Amino acid sequence: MGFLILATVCSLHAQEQARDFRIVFDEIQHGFETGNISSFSSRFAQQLRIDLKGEGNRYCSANQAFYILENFLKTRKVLSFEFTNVGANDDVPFASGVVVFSQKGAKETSHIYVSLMPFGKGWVIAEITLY
Amino acid sequence: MRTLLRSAFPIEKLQRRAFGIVFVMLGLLAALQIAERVVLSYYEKNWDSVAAQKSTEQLEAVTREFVFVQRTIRQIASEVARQEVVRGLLLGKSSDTVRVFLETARLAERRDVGVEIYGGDGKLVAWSGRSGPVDPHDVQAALQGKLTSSVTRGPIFTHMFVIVPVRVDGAFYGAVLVRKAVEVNYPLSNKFIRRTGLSEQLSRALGVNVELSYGTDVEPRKDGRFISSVVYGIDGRTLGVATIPRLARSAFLERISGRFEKINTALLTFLIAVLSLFAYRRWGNHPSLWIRLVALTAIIWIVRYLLLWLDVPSRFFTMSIFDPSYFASKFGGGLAKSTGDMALTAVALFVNILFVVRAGADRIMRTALWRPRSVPVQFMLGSFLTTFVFLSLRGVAAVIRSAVFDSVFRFNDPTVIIPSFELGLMVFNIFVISFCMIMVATATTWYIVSMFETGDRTSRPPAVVWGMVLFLYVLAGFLFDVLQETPLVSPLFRIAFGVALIVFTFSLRVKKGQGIWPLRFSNAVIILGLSALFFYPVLEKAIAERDRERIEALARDIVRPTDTWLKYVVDESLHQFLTDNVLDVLLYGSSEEVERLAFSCWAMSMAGRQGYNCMFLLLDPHGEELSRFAIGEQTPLVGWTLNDVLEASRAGVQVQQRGSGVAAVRVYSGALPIVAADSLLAYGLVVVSASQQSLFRGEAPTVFRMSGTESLETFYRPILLSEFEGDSLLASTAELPLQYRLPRTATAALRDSPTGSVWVSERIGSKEYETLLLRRDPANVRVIALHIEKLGGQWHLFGIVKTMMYYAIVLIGALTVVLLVRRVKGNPYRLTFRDKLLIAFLGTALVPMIVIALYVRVFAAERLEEILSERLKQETSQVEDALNAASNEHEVSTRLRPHLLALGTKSDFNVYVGNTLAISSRPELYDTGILDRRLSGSAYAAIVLQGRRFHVETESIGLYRYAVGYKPLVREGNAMQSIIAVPALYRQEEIDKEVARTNAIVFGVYAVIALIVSLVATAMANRIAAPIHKLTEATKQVARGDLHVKVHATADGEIGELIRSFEAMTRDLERSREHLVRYERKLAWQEMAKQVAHEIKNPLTPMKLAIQHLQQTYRDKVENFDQVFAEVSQMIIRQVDALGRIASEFSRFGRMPHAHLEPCNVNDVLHEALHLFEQDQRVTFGKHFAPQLPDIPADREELRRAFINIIRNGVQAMNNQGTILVSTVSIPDGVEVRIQDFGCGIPDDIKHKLFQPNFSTKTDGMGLGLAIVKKTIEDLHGTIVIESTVNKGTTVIMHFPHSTDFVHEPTSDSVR
Repeated sequence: MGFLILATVCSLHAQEQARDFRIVFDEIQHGFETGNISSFSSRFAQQLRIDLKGEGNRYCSANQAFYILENFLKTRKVLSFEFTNVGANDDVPFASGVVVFSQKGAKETSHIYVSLMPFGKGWVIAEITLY
Repeated sequence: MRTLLRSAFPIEKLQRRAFGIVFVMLGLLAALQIAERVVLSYYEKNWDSVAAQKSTEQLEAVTREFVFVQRTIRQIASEVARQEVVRGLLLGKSSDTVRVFLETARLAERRDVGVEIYGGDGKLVAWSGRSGPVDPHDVQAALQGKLTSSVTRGPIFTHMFVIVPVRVDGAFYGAVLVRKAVEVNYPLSNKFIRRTGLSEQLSRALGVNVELSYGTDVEPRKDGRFISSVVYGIDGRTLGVATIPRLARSAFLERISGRFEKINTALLTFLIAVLSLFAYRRWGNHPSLWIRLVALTAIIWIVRYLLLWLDVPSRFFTMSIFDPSYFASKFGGGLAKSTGDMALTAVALFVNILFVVRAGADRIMRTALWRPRSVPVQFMLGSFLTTFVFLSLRGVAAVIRSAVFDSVFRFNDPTVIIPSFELGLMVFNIFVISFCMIMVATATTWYIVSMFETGDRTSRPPAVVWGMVLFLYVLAGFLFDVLQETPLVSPLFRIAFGVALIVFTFSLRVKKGQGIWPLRFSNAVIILGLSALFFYPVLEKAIAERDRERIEALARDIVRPTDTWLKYVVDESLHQFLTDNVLDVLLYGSSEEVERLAFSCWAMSMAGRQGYNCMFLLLDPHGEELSRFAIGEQTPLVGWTLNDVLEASRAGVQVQQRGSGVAAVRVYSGALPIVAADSLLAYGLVVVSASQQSLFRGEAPTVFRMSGTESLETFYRPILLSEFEGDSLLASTAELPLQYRLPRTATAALRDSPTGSVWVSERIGSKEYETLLLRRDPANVRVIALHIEKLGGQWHLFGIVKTMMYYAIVLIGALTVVLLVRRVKGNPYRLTFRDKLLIAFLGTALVPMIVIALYVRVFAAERLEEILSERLKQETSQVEDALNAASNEHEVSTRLRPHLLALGTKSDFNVYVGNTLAISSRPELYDTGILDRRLSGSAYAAIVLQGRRFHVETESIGLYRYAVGYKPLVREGNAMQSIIAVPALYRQEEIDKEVARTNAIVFGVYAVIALIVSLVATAMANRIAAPIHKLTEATKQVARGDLHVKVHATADGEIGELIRSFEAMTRDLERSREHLVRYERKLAWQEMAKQVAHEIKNPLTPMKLAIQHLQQTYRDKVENFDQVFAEVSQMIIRQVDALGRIASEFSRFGRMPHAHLEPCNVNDVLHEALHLFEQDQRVTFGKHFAPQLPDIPADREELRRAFINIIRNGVQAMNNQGTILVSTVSIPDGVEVRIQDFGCGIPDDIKHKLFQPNFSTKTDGMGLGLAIVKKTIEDLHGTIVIESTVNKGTTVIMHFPHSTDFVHEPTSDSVR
C-alpha cells in the first residue's frame, strides 16, 4: 500500500514537472511566433548556450541572449514555429522543432533545439540552437 | 512675472532661425513620406516590368562579378608569367628552380592562391599553394597560346583557375596556372575554413540568394520562380550557370521602404541635432546655474534616448561594436545594449558631468551653494551625500560587473597584450564612467567639507572638519550594506575609497590657489590612478566570478547525461541521409559523387558541427561500402558489417560500452534504410564514439569544431580534467599520479553541497589549483574534477599595469584631442619648462628601454622558433626510426597503422612520395580536403632540389598558421625514398599561447619598470621645475602690479641667485612705483585743476557776456528790456546750474566724505535703483536675486547711485530698448552682483580707460560716472570687473564683502 502511495506521489510529481517545463516550451513557441523575445527572456539561465544558424556555439548572458535573439528576429519574420519533439530524459528537458522564417521575402526553414536546466523550483533555458 | 517669462523665453531671438530649420526638416519628412508612397505605388502598378528589369540587373551584376574574379586571377597569373626568374627557367637560360619555387611560394601566400608553372612539354616544373584537378588539354591549349579558365569542385572548396601562356618573342615556352578558391561547398566554419564563397558574397551584396552552379553541362533552371544566366570563362567556354530567384514583390517593396526609413532616420537625427543645438544655445547660457544644469542634463539625455529610439548609429553602421554577441546589457532600457551604445552613453555621461563641473565647479568648490549651519542638518545632509557617493561607487561596480558578465571579453587574459578594438572600447567605457564617478564624488566631498567648515556661530578648525568628514565616510561605509541588499563591494573597500577621496579633495583644496578645475592634467592623472587602483580589483573579482560561472556552465556539459544528448545527435545526423541531394546522387550520381556522399552528410550534420568523433557510412543493399567518412579517434569506428547496420536500423539509436576502466569507450550508433519509390537504395549508418579518457564527451580535436564554439578546451585558461570513483583517480588529462586521492574535506563538502558541485583549492605538485568538483551521479560515486591553475601574483600585477596602460592610452588620446582642439581654435598649448624636462627624462629613459624590450621580444621569438625547430627535428627523426622499424610496408600504409605509430611517437606525421601524400596519421584532414595532398613547393625545393637533411617552414590554412618539419626518408643505398613531414598542427594553439605568454611576461616586467621610471622622472621634473615655476608665477604677479610678491622656493646655485635677484628687483620696483604714484597723483591734480578751471570758465564767459548785454540794454533804455532781462536771467540761471553740477560732480569724486555705513540688503538697493528705469516700457529687466542674501555694510545712497549709474550705462548702450539681466548671488566672502546688457559692447582699445576720471564716450558727460562707481565700491573693499564683447554686450560684476574688515587688494586689471 505504502509503495503504491509512494509510486502515485512520484508519478504525480513527475507529471507536475513535465507540465512545468512544457509551459516554458509553450512560452518560447509563443514568443518566437509573435517575435516577442521579452515574453520568455525571464526564463533565460544566467549563462546560456546560443547557436544561431552556425554563428558559433557559445555561452552568453541572459541580457546578451535577449538582444542577440531580438536582432536575429529583427531581420526575420517567423511564419511558423512548432516544437515537434518535446521530451525529458535524464532530467534534461529538451524540445526540437521546425521554424520557418521569411527573410527579405525569401522563406527559410530552420531546425530549433532548446534544452532546459533546473533553477530553484522551476526551469530555465540552458541552450537555444537554430540550425 | 511677464518680465521673467520674457527673459526666460526670448523667442524673438531664436525663433526665426530655429523655426525655419524645423519647418524645413518637417517639410522634408512630409515630402519623404509622400515620395515613399508615390514610389511604392509606382512599383506596385508597374510591378511586372520593374521585376523583370531589376532581376535582369541583378543577374548582370552576378555575371559581371564572375568575370571580374577571373580577371583578377588572370592578372596574378600574368604577373607570375612576367617574372624574369620564371621566364629564365622556362627558356632554359637559368636552372634556378629553387628560386622559382621560393618566389612562387611568396606570391601564393600573399595572394592566397595556388600557382603551378608548366614547362613547354606540359610537365609541372614548380608549384605552390593548393593543388587541384586540371585537364591536360587546358594546359596544352595554353602552350599553344590560348588563354583558358575553368572551375573545378574539390571536397571542400570549389576552385577557379586561369592558365596563361608564357610567351617570349612570339613563341610559347610554358604556361602559368593560378587557382583560387571561390566557393566553400559545405557550411563548415572551423579553425581552417572560414571562407565566404563568391555566391554568399554576392547574395549579401545584392540582397538575393545567388546560386552559382559550375560545370559545362549545367542547365539553367526551368522553374519560373528563378532566372538564370550562363557564366562564361575567359576563353568563352561555359563554366556554369548563375541563378537568382525572381524578385519578390514584398521583398522588393520592403527593401525600398527600408531605404526610405533610413533617410527618414537620418533626417530625424539631423533634426534632433539642430534642436539640441538651439536648446543648448538657449539654455546653456542662462544666468541661473540650476536652470542651466537641469536644462543641459535634460538635453543630453533626451538626445541620447532619441538616438536609442531611432537605433542610431547602429542602423547605419554594421560594426562589431554594435553586436550584442560581444556585449549587451539591459541597463537603462538599452543604453548599453552593445559596446558601441555603451560608449555613446558613457560619452553622454561624461559631457553631462563636464557641463556640471564647468558650470558649477566655481560655486561648488567656492562653497557658493547653500550650506546648512545647524549641526543636525549638516550631519543629515552629510550622511545623505556620503551614501550617494557609495551608491555611485556601487553603480560603477555594477557597470564593471555587467561589462564582465554580459560580455565575451577576456579582460585579464594573460596572453593578450594589445586588446581588440571591441575590448579597447569597453575599457574606454569603464574608464570614462569611473572617471565621471570620481569627479562627482570629489565635488560632493568638497561640498561636505565646506559645509562642515561653518558651525552654528563660528568656523570650525580644519582638523575637526576633516575628522567629521572621515567619520561620516566610515559610518556610511559600514552602514551601506543595510541599505543595499547587494552592495557589490565590501565595507572596507568603501571606507578605503572614501579615505582616498578625502585625501584627493584635501590635495585639491591645498592647490586651490593654482586652480580647482578637476580636469587639470595632473588631477586627471590622479583620477586615472584612483580609477585603476580601486576599480581593477572590482574588475578582477567580477572576472573570477564570471570564470567560475562559465566553467560551471561548461562543466554542466560534462555531467550532462551524454547518452541522451549523443543519442539525439546521432538521430538528428541520420536525417542527412534522407535529403533530396542524397537520393539524387544515389540514383543518378557518378561513382565519385557517391563516394563523397558520406563526407557531405557529415559536413551538413549536427555531429559535424558539434565536432564529435564519428563515422558516416553508406552501404549498398548487399553490404558493400559505397561511401565512408570518419573523423577523430578511429578505433571504435571500424568493423561495422551489414548485420550490425541492419540491427541498428531495427533497434533505433543504440549505446554500447566497449572495454572497461580508463580504456572504456561508449559507442552510439544509428542506421536507417534509404528508400526511393519503394526501392531500397542503401543503408546509412552514423556512429559517434566517446571514450572514458575524454570523460565520455565524444569530442574530436577542437580544430574541427565550428569556430566560435565554446568549450573547456577553448577557455582562455587551461583546464585539466579528472574523473574519480569515490576518491580514487579513474582518468585524467592532468599528469596526476595514479595514487592521487581527492582531499577528504573536498569530498565531504561535495557530499553536503545541494547543487552537486563545490569549489576547492588544491595543490598538485608545485602548482596551486582551483578545482571544481561535480557529482556525476546522485550516489556521489563518480566525481568529475576540473582543475584550473591559479594565477600567480605576477599576473595580478601585470593585470593592474595593463589596465593602467589602457587607461593611460585613453587619457593620452583625450589629451591629444584637447590639444588639437586648442590648436584649431588658435590657442595652442605651450609646453612649460617642467613639461620639457619630463619629456626629456622620459625620452631618455624609455626609448632605450623600449628598444631593449623589442630586442628581447624578437630574441625570445627567435629562440622559441629555434626550440620548435629543434623539437620538430627530433620528432621527424623519431618518426623516421619508427617507420624504419616497421617490418611490413603494407602494414604501415593501412589506415590504422600510421595512427598507432603516431600514438607511439606522440607526433602526427605524413609521408610523401615524389610530391604526393602516401601515408598520413591524420587521413581525415586530407580526405576532407582541409589539407593538400601535394607536398609544399618550398619543402620540395629544400629537400629534393637543395638536398637538405631537414627543413622547417610555416604553412597556413586560411588564417591558421603552423610549423611543419620535413626530413628525407633514406633507406637502402642512401637513396631518398620519400619525405617525412611532421606538422605542429594540433599543438600550434599551445605554441601560440606559449609565445603570447612569453610576450606577456616580457611586457609585464618592462611595463612595471616603465611605470617606476615614469614616476621617478615626474618627481624629478617637478622638483627641478618647481622653483622656476614659482618664479614664473611671481613674475606674472609682478606684471599684474603686485610688487609685494615673495618667491617661496628654496634653491641653490644659479636658480637661488636668480630668485634673490628677482626679489631685490621687486623691492626696487616697489620703491620706484611709490615715487611714480606720488608724481602721477600730483600731475593728475594739476590736470584736474586745469580741467576745473576750464569747466568753470565755460559758463562764466556766457554769463559775463549776458550781464554786459543786460547792462547795455538797460543803458540804451531798450523798449523790450523786460523780455531781454527775462531771457538773460534764464540763461544765467542755467549757467549757474551748470556750475553747480560741475561742482557737485567734482565734489562727489574728490570728497566721498564720511560715508554712513549701515547694513544694506543689496537686493533692496537694486530694486530701488531699477524702479527708476522700470517706467520705460522699452526696457525690460530679468531679475535673478538670491533669496536670504546677507547684508553688507554700505552707504545705501552711494550704493544706489552706483547701481543707477551702471544700469543707465547699460540702457544707453542698448539705445534705450532691450533686456538687462540683473542677478545677485551669495559667495563665501560676501555678495556678487551682475548687471548684464546686450548692447553695443566696449571696444578693446578703450577698456583700460573706463575707470579713468574725465574719460567718457558720451558728448554730454563729465566722464566721472564709472570713476565714482569704482571709488564707491573700493571704499567698501569690494571689486568691480567689466567683461565686454563688442556687439554682444557688457557684464559688470561686483563683489561686496560681508565685513569691511575684509582685506582685498583691488586689481588694476578689472576690465576684460
